[in-house]
Amino acid sequence: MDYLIEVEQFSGPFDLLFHLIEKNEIDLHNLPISEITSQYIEHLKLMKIIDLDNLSEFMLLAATLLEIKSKMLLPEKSDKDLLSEDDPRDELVQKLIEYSKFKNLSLLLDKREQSYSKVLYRRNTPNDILNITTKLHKDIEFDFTENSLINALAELLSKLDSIDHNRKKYFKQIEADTWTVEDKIRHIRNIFVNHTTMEFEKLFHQDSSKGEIITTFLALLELIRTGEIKVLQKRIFDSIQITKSKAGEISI
Amino acid sequence: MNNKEVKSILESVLFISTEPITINQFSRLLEVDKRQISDCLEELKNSYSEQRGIKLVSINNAYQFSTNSCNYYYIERFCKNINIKKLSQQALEVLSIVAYKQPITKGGIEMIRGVQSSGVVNTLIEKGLIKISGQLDKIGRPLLYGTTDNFLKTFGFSSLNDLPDIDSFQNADLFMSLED
Repeated sequence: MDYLIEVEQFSGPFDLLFHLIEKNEIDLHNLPISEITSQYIEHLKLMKIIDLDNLSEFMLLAATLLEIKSKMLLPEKSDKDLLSEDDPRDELVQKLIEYSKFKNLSLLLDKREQSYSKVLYRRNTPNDILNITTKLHKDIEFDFTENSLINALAELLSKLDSIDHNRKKYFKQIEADTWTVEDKIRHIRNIFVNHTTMEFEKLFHQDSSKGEIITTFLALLELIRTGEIKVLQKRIFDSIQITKSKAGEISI
Repeated sequence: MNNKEVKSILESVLFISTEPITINQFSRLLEVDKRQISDCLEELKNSYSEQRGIKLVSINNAYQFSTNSCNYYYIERFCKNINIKKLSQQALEVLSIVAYKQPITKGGIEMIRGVQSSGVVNTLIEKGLIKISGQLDKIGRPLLYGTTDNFLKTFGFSSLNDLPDIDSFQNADLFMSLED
């Protein structure tokens, strides 16, 4: 067999198998399992860029082929069994026939897509004066079906498209954090230049945002970790006292 | 209202609409019998012959104007952004399975294709070619998929009955070549 590295992409293991069968003009109802198995495996090796997502499925079919091959190699127990036992290829052949129908159908759809993509319809654009059509459309829409909901949502989303680029811009930007743990650590350290103890609550302003509170808290945890400060609660539900560690004590 | 008046109204409304309009909607809008609407729409449809630049297309009993595909080249030159993205082979495979086997679960699709199809199914939903049509009353309550009217529109079918007989594909090329 003469193989060239084909650029052809196979949509799945059946597609590849089907391709081999077609290429060799093999009769599906008398599948030369040994030949097709080795060709299939050979082809798998040649497919340099294999779709990793589907690798397992390609392998599964290879295993199935090998299983059928080995089953066929096993001697039949008796003539009687030969008649009653199913051909191990049957299941695969059935699947292949089923697949081939849809494969051929997809080729037809492909052709139809090509010709019908040249048929164009009016599109609803957000700035279209003729947007009144949608309003009119709603007024005469009395059949409330799930479709009307879906359409309404789609309509809404299509209108959003006009501001979509703004959204994209927004998402592409990474805004600098307003509050950083480093800043807050510095802030707490500054407090303890003049104070030795402080109440936990006083670290936070009344109008602190959630982000700020979280950042301050993280800064506090960081300082506890490094041993610069200690926290103490004398009794349960008592206010938490933050104290500065003595110079010599830094390190835990 | 006589047919002439009805057709005139239908034509105007169709002209301005960006979506297909159903016979029911027309019937309520015009306060005219559905039968008359349907007849008038068919007459109107026939009056747009092959030579005309506009065609009246019916999709699942809903009607919309479309351009004549012969003029595509000029429309493309006239319009700025006509983006026609072809569907991948995988997508077409899944689509044909859904079209014939609907309602079908993702598992059912994968059974036929022998390959996992989640990504393709999601793409098709995004493109509005298939939709979730229900849930199977079995363990896991898997979602069922079916085709949309947009699918019919994209592939030029006026209803699902328009799809060619699936069994006619059994004797397609592959089997033909065997008989030679």
